[in-house]
Amino acid sequence: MANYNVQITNGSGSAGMKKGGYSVTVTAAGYDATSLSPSTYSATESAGSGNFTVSAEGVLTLVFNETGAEGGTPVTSGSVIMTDSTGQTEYGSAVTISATGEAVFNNVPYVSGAGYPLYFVQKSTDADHNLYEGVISVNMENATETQYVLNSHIAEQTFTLTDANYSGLPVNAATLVFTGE
Amino acid sequence: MKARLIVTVSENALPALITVRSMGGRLILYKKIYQRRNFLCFCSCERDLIITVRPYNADFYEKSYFIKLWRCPTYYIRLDFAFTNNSERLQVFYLVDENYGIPVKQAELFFSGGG
Repeated sequence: MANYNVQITNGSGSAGMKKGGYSVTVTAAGYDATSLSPSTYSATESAGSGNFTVSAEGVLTLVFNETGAEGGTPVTSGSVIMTDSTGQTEYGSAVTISATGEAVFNNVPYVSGAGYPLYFVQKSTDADHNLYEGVISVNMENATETQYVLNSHIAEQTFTLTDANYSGLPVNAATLVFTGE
Repeated sequence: MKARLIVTVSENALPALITVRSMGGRLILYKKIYQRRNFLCFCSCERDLIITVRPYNADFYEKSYFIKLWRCPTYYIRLDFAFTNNSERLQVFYLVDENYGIPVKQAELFFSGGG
C-alpha cells in the first residue's frame, strides 16, 4: 500500500510512484473536487504520465457598453474569449456577445475572498463601437460575478478633399474609401 | 580449491546478504551480511555454485549468479550486482480545467493504493 500527494502548480506536477492501481482525489481552490476525472490511475514499472480534469461552478457575465459601468448603452454583438494573462494563449471557444451586450462564461473557477484570476480578450464588437484593446482581467471572488467592459462609441470623423494644385479648391464630388488594417 | 570473489553491489541496495550455495542449493558454503564493497574468500570442493545477493531493502528482489569452477586451484571472480530501485518510477501529471482547458493554478492530487 502506497500513498502519494502530488502538488500541482500551473497545471502540472510529478512524483516517483510504485507500480499499481491508485484511487485519486483532489483539492483545488476554485474547483469542485467531486468533478475530478478520472478518479483512478495505474502506474506501471516505467515512467508515465496522467491527464486529469476538474470542473468549476462559477458564472461570469461580461457586459460590454459605452461607459464600462452599469447602465451604459450596450453593444449589440461581438465575441470574447478566455486567455492567459498575456492574452496570447486562448482557451476554450469564443463566447458571443448578445444583443444586450452580455457574454456569459459558465463553469469558471472562483475563490471566496482571495479570488481566482481570469483573463479575456475581446475579439469583435458591433459596427458602432470600438473594440476593447488589451486583456480584460477579472478576479472571481463569488459564484456569480458581473464585470463591465468599455466599448466606446465610434467618433465622427470629418474629412475634406481639395485640389492639390489649387489650394483650397474643394473637389466637387468624390468618394473616400477607408479599409481597415 | 579456493575461490576468491570480488563482489560489488550498487550502493542503494546495501546492506545485503551474500550467500554462496552449491548448485543443488543444499549446501551453504558462505553467508555474510555485506555492508560495502568487499572481497569474499572461501574454500569449496563444489564446482557448481550459486551466488545470491539479497538486499535488506525490501524494494529489491534478490539476484543470483550461477558459476562453474573448473580445475584451477584458485579463482578470481568479479561479480557486479546492480540494483535499481524498481519500485518507483517518475509519473508526471497534468490537471486542467474541464471546460476551458486552462491549467489549474494550484492543486494537490492524492493517490492511494498501489505498492
